[in-house]
Amino acid sequence: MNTKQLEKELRVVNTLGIHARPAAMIVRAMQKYDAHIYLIYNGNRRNAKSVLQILSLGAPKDAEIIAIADGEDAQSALQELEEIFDSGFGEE
Amino acid sequence: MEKIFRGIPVSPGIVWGEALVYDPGVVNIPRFKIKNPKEELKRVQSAIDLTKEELLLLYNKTLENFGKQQADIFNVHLMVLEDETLLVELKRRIYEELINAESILFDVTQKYIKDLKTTGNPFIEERKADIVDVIDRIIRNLLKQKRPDLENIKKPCILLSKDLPPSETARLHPDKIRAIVLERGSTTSHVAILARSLKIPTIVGASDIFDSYTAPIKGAAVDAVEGTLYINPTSNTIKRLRLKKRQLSRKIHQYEKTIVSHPSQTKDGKNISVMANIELPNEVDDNVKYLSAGIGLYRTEYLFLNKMEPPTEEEQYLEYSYTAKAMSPLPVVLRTIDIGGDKLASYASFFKEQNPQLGCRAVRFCLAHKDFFKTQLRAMLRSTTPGNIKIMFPMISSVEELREVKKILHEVMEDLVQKKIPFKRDVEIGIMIEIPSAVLIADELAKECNFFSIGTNDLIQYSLAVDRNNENIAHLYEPAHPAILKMLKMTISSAIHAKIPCSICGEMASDPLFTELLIGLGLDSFSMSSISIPQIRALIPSIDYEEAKVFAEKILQYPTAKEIRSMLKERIRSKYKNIVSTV
Repeated sequence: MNTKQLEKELRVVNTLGIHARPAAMIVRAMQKYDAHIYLIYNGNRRNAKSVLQILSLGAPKDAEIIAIADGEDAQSALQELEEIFDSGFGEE
Repeated sequence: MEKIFRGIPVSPGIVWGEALVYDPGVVNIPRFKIKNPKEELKRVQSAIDLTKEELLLLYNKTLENFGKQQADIFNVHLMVLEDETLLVELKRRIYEELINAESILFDVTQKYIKDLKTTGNPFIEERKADIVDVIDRIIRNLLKQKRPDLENIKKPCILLSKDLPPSETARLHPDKIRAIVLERGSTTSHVAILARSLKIPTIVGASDIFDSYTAPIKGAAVDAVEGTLYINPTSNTIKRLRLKKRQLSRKIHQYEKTIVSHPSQTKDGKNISVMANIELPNEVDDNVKYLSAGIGLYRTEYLFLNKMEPPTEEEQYLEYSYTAKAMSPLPVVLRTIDIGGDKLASYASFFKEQNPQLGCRAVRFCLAHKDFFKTQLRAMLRSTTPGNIKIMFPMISSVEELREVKKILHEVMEDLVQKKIPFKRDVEIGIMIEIPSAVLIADELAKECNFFSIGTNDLIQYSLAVDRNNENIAHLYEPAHPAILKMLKMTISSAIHAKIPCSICGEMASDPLFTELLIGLGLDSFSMSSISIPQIRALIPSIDYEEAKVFAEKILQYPTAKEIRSMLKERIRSKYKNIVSTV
């Protein structure tokens, strides 16, 4: 694959952080893409298509997360990911 | 052979009969080499498919009976089943290591749980129980060990278990489950809360039942008044319990007669209000309304437990206003969430804080999560119009803290005013007195709030530095300690001086041993679980306030809890024997 790896910095804005519902939301959205997508937080790299892995990130409010994506549709995957994070997963 | 176990009674009652041993956690997971990885993969896939069917069924049933919020948990469980990294890891290890799927699944669960332990966020840590829950289902299907389905129990039975997973707790049925005894859990755990509200006799913390009893369990007898479980009880035990049960119901009948014929006041005419502590809105029924002078403590934690996400403002508003309307015109004291500490850790004994009781709980948690706090306050304020609502803050330790929560409350009020949402501006604001520092500055705190409620459980724990769940020192937990009585006096006097009402809502309020003493110290409001109300309410008309004052002064002179206790017991024997028999 010749595509370059892309990255983006994200921030958790909702009060409760990435608990079960947001984790499910992220995974559902990312499963649409072919790219490999990972979230890095606190020195741990997790697969964004795995609800178990996203849950075990344990990211609270204000956590700064680096997302990396690798593949044809990496650009749009990261863009959607950013929108989801910015919306606070639809929570306060 | 009969065997006796002791635990903490959390919901009273006496029951005997058939026992069902419910064991949600797989204890022994076999580990063995496999020869054909392809077959093993097929085996695990069909176990996963079976689990999927189970969960879909559960989702639909829960949706129908409990609504979308409770059912949503199963959606995440279903996603775990389709988790690609889980499936990839399973496949890889089956092929590379040639070991059975059960043991790999077990390893994988342990890994994720370990990661979650370190997050420090209670809402995320709570999900540990969900991961364990769903993977346990797969493992069980692999082992062809069905989980007993609590939903489809045919005959009513006594449930014995180590613990109950969240997906089961939500679906307990009082018609089928006659009593519950668990090895784990505390007075404030999810199961305890639910059992009380469903009136299922329950004992928690009955340690080592299954390790020390390996013979088949046929029947059980549960005395959830004193906290004793009898496995395979003898006919003598049952005879004794039958007698005790009959005596109890006769007593209750006697209490009811007194309540009907006497108002809630002392012999010499001082009004004493007896209010109810509740956990769930559906605890409010005609009986509570008839017996109590209002809700003295509405614990709001239950709304937040075992949910996919915290309840929205609208959902909270519906719950609070429902209770307000149901109790109207009687008052309802809503306490803001006391989460953190033991409460969220009920399923999760791995709470990150070393010392959660002294950690980020109650208003401390709320002040650290302001948006979350404001949502609850908005819902509470909005429910002030349909009923007689008061708002209470737990764990206040300083005047600064009280000012800070009031500042936030005022911000929320301003916002409601701007949005033209109706609420009562002059809603009464009170605080729990449960930290020794609050007792010492009670006079200052009294100037800045409308009422006090003394939470004796925590106050005793913090004052005597005793964790009552630690069995090595539980005997040091002593409400009759002279220091505790002095603190009660100090708090009550500060309230009287500032002309604000002071109530008591810990377990001490429901112990008849202390009723006369508390009235003598000047207390005129008690709040307790509705089960305890009849006895205390029946006791009050035979107490003389003037005599109680003299008695309290005398009690305060004694230097030891031992002397105080024997004085209190002697008093019951000589004056209230007809009403209180269990001393």
